[in-house]
Amino acid sequence: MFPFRYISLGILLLILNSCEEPFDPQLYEEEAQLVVLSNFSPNSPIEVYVSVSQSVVEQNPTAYLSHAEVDVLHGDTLLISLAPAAKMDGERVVPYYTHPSFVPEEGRVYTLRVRAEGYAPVYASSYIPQQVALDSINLENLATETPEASSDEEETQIYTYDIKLRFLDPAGEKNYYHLNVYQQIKKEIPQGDTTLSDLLTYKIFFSPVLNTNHITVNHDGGILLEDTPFDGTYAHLSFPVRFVLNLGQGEELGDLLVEFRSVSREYFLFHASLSKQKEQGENPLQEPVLVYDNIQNGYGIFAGFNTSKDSLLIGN
Amino acid sequence: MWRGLYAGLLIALLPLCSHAQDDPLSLRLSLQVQDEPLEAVLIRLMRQEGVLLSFSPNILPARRITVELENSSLKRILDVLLKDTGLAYERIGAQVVLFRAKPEKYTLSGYVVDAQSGERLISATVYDEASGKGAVTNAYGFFSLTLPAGRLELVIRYLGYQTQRRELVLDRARHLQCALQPALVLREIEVVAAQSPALAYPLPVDELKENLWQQLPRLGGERDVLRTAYFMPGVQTGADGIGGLHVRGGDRGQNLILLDGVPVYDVAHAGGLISLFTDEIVKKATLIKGAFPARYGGRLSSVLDIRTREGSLKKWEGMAGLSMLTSQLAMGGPLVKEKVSVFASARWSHLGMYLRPYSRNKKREEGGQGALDYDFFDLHLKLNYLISDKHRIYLSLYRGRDRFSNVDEKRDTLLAGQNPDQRKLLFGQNLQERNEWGNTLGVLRWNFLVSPRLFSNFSLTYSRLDVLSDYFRGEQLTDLGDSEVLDEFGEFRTARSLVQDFSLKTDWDWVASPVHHLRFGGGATHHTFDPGLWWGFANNGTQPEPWESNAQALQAAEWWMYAEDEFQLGSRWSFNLGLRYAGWQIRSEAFHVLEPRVAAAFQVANPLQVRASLSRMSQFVHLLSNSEVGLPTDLWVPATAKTGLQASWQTTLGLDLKTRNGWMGRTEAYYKLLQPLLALSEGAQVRTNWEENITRGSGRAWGIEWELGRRKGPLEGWVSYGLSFTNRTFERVNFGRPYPLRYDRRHDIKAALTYAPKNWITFSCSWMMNSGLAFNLPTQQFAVDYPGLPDPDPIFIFGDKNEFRMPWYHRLDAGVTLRFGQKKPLKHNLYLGVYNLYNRRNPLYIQLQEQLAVSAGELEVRREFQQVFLFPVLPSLSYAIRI
Repeated sequence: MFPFRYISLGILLLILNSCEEPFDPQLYEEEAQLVVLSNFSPNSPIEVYVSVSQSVVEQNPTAYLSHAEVDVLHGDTLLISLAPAAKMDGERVVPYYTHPSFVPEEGRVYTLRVRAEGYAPVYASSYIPQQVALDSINLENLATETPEASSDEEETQIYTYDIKLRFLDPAGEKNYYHLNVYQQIKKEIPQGDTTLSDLLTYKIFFSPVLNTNHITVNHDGGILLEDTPFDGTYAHLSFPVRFVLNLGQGEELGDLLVEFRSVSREYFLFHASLSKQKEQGENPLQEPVLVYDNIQNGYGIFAGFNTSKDSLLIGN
Repeated sequence: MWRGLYAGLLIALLPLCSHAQDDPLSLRLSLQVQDEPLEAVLIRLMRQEGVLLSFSPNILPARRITVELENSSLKRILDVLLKDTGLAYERIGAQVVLFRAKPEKYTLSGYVVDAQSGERLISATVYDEASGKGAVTNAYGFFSLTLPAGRLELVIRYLGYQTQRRELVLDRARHLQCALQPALVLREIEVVAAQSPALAYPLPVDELKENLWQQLPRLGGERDVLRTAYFMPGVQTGADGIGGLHVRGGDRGQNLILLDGVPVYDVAHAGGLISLFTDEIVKKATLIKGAFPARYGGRLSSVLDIRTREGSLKKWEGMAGLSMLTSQLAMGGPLVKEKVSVFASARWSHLGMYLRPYSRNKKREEGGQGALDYDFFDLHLKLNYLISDKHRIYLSLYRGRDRFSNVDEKRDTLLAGQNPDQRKLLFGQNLQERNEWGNTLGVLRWNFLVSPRLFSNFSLTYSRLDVLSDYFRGEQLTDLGDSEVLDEFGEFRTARSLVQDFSLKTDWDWVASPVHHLRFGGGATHHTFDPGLWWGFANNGTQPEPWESNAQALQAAEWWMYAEDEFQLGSRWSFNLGLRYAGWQIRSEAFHVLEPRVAAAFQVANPLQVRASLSRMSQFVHLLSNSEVGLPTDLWVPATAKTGLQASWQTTLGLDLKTRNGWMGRTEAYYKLLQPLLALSEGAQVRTNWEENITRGSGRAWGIEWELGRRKGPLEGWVSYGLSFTNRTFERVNFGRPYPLRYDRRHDIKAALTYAPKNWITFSCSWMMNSGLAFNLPTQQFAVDYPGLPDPDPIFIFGDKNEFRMPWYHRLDAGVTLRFGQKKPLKHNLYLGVYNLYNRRNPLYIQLQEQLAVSAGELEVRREFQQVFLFPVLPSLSYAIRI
């Protein structure tokens, strides 16, 4: 047994030392393509960001294109050509395309066409679904918990409650929604002998355990919904929320703001698949999650949505 | 009665009939003859005694008679003279007419056993050369052959045993125990087409316990029946066996794997490198890929039926073995000679013995601490109580368990920023994993031979798979200057799941005739599924946020009945027609399915037959997995009203060729429609509510397989080629677009060769080559990079699902088996081999790896593709000693 063990050990060392090596992905390489990002609603002029994709091993900042031709069409009819513009993002200048007088309309299908030298022209279509307002929204099962803290500064209070909403899903069509919940926090900031008050707004993040075929917890906050379980009827939904208030840092609860978006299929699929890709983690043995895009010959998303808003105060 | 009488040569002696009376048979006579032909004796009776006998000389056998009978009746004299001749007589008026008796049919039944151990042999053939009829022993070594009375020339054959010839006179129902001597060369696991000698056989199977396959090179010296199955055409797996069994476009969870008739839910050790079926316990292993008999059901794609050894009824035997991966002990023998036998085996891995010190050193070299550990064991016990020729009881128990743990602690010091603001940061990582899983199986079986033609079997079975998984990963970034924790991340998970079955079933074999065999039976199973899963998460110093899945334990009932009729029409056609009914009840929902099974064969010419089949299969238990290779944490769940069941149709058309000089050829085309199918929705995690994260869809698989080989003489070989296509379409995978299955290997070539110049030595080599697995690789990336949004993470573009192909998989293995002292009490068996002889680096998976690095004083993430593979060239070694 003893010598046998060492013969085998030598072989296993060989195995374990050799089990990983760099792989040249040349076979699978793809050309960079245009990336188009635009979520549009009837509340503001359409904005389109155009950039270029890069290889996954690269770590360069987003390469925006500021000289692309960006047109909005309805069917084959050109509605408008968007003009280049720019926004400041910190010290960074971010180019985009817009037209101050062009505000998209509910129910109309728009086609976006983007052309840039060196890249295949890309196309995408979407629409703004009809606005769906919440019938009612309230909180239930509110409970608080104050964990033991090692110092006053670390004192926290945990709020748990269910947020319940009710709305009428329009019949005869497939509908998608995005519920966003924001918690306002009033923060007292001592400044010498003065105490300043600030109002901060935090997005509520839900637990991915809620994920089902028809509910996806959005990676960037809120919940994405598909109407299959309540198609054409009143939807009664309830989602648990858990929020930690840092009492030791002078935080007080403010209003709870609710934004309820009715969104296009493209919007839903893109955000839902993106959320699942981000939620999956880095296990190389797991099946990858593909992110939806509706950009022909390119990547990204061009998707419409519509919004209604509401607010509540915890405890009321 | 008169049909046997030949009219042409009637001999009637009328003038000499001086003794004619009312009953000539009561006439009293004396007869003394010495070594005379029967015909002469009969003529003497007529001429000398005046008896009126009528017969045709053509029907008389060439028998010589010596007899001395004094004052005996004619009846007595004729009985003596005609004994064992197949002739009968009858008085008609004053005459006694001799004729060929309409043969009575009697049933020869019994068991075929190993002469040395008394263990019963499955699928042995008992063939009567005189009539050209035969039978095959069933799963308990029983055969039944109903033939006309007369002399039988039996040939009893079983692979790896010396053929036995026996002559006997079938003049009544007889019970026969055929004891076959093992051949001198040890038999090992193999795969050939099993055929009844008398029937064109409509149900092709692969037998995995045969010489050719048992002599093949082995991974780590470990002989494994599941790895043998991977060598069959139409069977796919991942690199080196990781990924499980995929048969003709089926999924890993669609194989009915039976150990002594008990379904096994997880058959893999070490991720699939080794199965839990220790070679020493396997007596018979059969793989069915299409043309499923009605007695099997509950899975869509294949049946792997494994029967275990019983232990010798005659003498004690033992074995001790050591391979690079495991050690094992086995022992069996009579507790009560010829009455009660026991067989026990134990196998345990010694992987941990190597992994612990090696991983500890490796982690230390990389600046970390901790160790990796993995081990498994298998225990098997079988009791066999031979109550009588008609009653037998078996008790078979199995318990196996795998334990894996990994502790990894790392601390890296990083410099961030530029002087004079440069900061020294400590990046700490802590990983703790523990996984345990195992099967527990049991069966209590009663064989009851109701009559020589009717065999029954009653079984009470238990099967359980339990899985426990703990995981914790934490990361912390600390400024070493002021000890401020800059960033903190923690993730913990506990998952457990259980699937447990209790079954009661009965199976009946009725052998109506050598060309008509009826099987029927039924049973019921109580299932328990407890996919209890928890998940926890904490981030940036906040309180741990416990997440608990809402999975609940579920109970389900399953029941089934089947009837299967195998018969021959004329001399060329044979059929196996079956119907299976299955029911399923869960909560208040019930499902009922009917599954027709049809198989037919036509003997075109003696060595050549054409086969066709159509099978409907259903499945009520589903394996949910979102991993590419199959992990113990994958979840078995029941069909519910929300999920529904899975079902398939498969049709096959094949051609078999088997010549007397050992050449065998087979080709089979198949088309399989899997609909409905179930899968986890894309991106769904099994830790969440599984019932709400399942998507329904369909799949198709089609292809053609060719095999050609020779199984005779010292040089045996075999080569196969398979061309196959398989795809899936699910509403919530790949956005509803069809995609190829990961195991959609288009081309698949496998070849094996063994050469045994002497009984004590066998050289072997095997080679396989198949198209790469379908998979995804991120190629491009972009970010949702709006002003006002926090730092965007990259979005990876994978293309369509399984759009890419890994490089071709190919591997050559070679080995030599040496056997010493085969005629001595202590027998030695040494195997030396090389796995992956030309060091092909077949990727298990390809991943994009990220590493933190400091560049120009700034922390940055570097990415590169890494190919992970398991085995480079690997010498293999094993040794076994037997008494």
